[in-house]
Amino acid sequence: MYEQTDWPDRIYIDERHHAKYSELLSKSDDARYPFKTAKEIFMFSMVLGFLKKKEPSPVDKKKEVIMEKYLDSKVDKPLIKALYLMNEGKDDCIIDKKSAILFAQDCANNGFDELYDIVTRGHDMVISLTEYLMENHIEQ
Amino acid sequence: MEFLRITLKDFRQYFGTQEIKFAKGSHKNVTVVNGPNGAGKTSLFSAINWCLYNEGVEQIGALVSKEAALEKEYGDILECSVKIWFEHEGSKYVATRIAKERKVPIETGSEEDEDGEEKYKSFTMERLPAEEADFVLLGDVDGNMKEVPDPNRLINSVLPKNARQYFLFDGEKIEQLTRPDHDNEIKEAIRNILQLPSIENAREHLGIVIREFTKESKKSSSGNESELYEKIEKLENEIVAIDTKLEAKNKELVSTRDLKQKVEEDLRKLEAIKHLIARRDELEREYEEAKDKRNKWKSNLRNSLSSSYLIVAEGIINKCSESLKEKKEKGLIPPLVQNSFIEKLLVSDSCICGNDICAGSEGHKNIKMFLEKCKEYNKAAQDLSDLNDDLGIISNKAQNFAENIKMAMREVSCENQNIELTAKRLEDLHKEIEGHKEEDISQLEKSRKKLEDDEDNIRADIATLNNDKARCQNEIKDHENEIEKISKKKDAARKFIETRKLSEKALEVLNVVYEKFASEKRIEIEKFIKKVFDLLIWKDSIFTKVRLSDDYKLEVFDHYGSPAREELSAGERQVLSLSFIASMAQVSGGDVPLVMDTPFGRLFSIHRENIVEQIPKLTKQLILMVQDEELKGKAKTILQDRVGEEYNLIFENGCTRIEVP
Repeated sequence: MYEQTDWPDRIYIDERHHAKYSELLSKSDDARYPFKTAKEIFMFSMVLGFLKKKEPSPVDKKKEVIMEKYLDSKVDKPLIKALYLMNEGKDDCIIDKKSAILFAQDCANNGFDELYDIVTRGHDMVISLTEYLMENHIEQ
Repeated sequence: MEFLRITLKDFRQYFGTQEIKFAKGSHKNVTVVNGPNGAGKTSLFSAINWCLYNEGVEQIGALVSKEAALEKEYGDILECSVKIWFEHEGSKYVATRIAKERKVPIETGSEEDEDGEEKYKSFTMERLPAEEADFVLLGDVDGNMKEVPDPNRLINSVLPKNARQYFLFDGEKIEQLTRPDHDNEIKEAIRNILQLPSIENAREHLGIVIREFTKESKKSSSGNESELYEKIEKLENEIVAIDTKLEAKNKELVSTRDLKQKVEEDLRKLEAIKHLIARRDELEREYEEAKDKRNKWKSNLRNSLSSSYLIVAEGIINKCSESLKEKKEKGLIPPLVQNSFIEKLLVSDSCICGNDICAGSEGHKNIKMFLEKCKEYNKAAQDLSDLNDDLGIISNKAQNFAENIKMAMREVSCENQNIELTAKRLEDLHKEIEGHKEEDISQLEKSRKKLEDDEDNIRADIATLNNDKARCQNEIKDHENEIEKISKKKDAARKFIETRKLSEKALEVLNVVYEKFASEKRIEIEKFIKKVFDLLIWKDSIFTKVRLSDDYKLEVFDHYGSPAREELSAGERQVLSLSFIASMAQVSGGDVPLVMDTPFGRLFSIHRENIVEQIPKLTKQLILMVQDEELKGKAKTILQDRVGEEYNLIFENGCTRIEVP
């Protein structure tokens, strides 16, 4: 049983990204594919979208992608809260989970194309994503 | 299932009615039928096959005893029969098969008798077409023997026809069975005994049903839907064509691999390049090890990547964490207000400053509003405090993931270098062998390399075909979703989509079940073959491991870990065959008798002794038809303890008599 929360129970992506989500997940048992769940793609896109430092692009046509219950309460939810807090700048915004999720959706919408380009630039998506991380985010 | 007895009436050389009772029970479960060559062992073996399956008598001439026909007139019709009594799951059965043959003269040539008529010296029997009534199976129903309506079906469920050669085993074939050129026979035997063809048929039929659905739906649709159905139909046909190609490619792969192994084995026998082949074995082992290590590290890498967004977010996390700490230090996130204190105040009617705050007063209202604000404020303060703690943990996690990724990537790169280096060394070695001064060696190596390249190409083709198939399947799903959208309100179309999806789901489940079942059974057979092989083989044998590959190929390894089936002696191959047969019997339910015709002919005495000691323990009932030479000395003594029934076949004047010794 999952505990009741004040988070919205469904998370949406833009419909135009849905096929590409499916493509990245189509071989989730293949060692060359880095993502095992839609949540991982969503969270990665969200972070990239946030870092783009431009106005998040709102989700146009909504397509449900994950259930809130799959967000880890000690990792994913705090990360969403942190991004929302950094964006809003007001401490009391932290209790508004619904707005936080809407913001996360917009960020993910903004960052998905970049993620897709990163992982599909080589034959092996695992290696492509690793190389991107090593070049940009992991100290050698 | 256990055989109880068999009677043969005028069957081949068994003139009159002859009977054998079979031994049954947990200990004395062996029946031995002794007879020299030509005494009738094979006829007895054929009688069992014929009675149960109406097979095995095509090439053996007349079935009716010629002795019985001797006194009959030309043109007379005679009958022979075989009856088998058996017990299965507590019920008794009697299977009876009869054959009818007409006595016909054989023309001896131009000789004429005194009256000028043609003179006949001999006769033969002409078999009449079999009728349905020629085979009757009676079964015990409530104490009465009644005819079983579908006898073949029952026999097939008790002893599957397509695997009968492994219960009713012809000893002359025993050594052939495990010869390297009989791989397909082994493969088919396993597939048959596991009833895999039935599951494959079910899969095929389900595929046909799905395609039929598409055709039918296309007829009753219009406009865009019709176009989509047409696309689906095209894709389905494409999948069928891909499947056909895949099947052909898989067969090509097996035969290319077999051929390559054969060439490798030939190369292995050549003394002049023994050291080079040993070096290649070593390099190939290193190559595989490096690949395994690389894959293991890649799998670690993949696991760390699943949460790698934390690494990307680490900068933001730290910034947010610092900001929260700063606020806390500056007192911008004050400690929680004790709600209980305000609640107590509300019921006390008097404030700490002495003002009246009884219910309904302005003061009471203000304090109540303050309480609500405090609750909200406390929630935010609590959330901020929790967030600060969580961000610390996330930051640590991000660092750990980054370290893991760094390490895994380093190892992957290192193993990739090892793989490249080993591949280069293998290529150099190939060139060295190819350039050998002896033409035979050079040619063999060229063939091996070509087969290796062919194998790689076929694998690549298979991968491409599988990709194409997956693409078609995905496109079909997209079109189905499109149809579903267009025709949401149309009942017929919705029904089609639902039924189709259900059929696809069933097919998917069937595929999973098939793969799981086949794989589990393969492992089970492999384990059993190994167990029996270890029991039967000579203890000091250099053959240490038996393996059944994914495509059901039986392989034996020597104590160097090298494939060694080619090196097995005829006797050792017999041991491997017996291990295989005993495993087949076990896997099929372990409840079938084993009937073996002259099985020990080429066995080394130690193997023979092991076999007569172990086989009776591995099967419920063992019926052995042996020559005097096959079973003697220590082997005979060992077996004697398990023998419940024993018969001798006495062949005199063209007829066989069954006698108890």
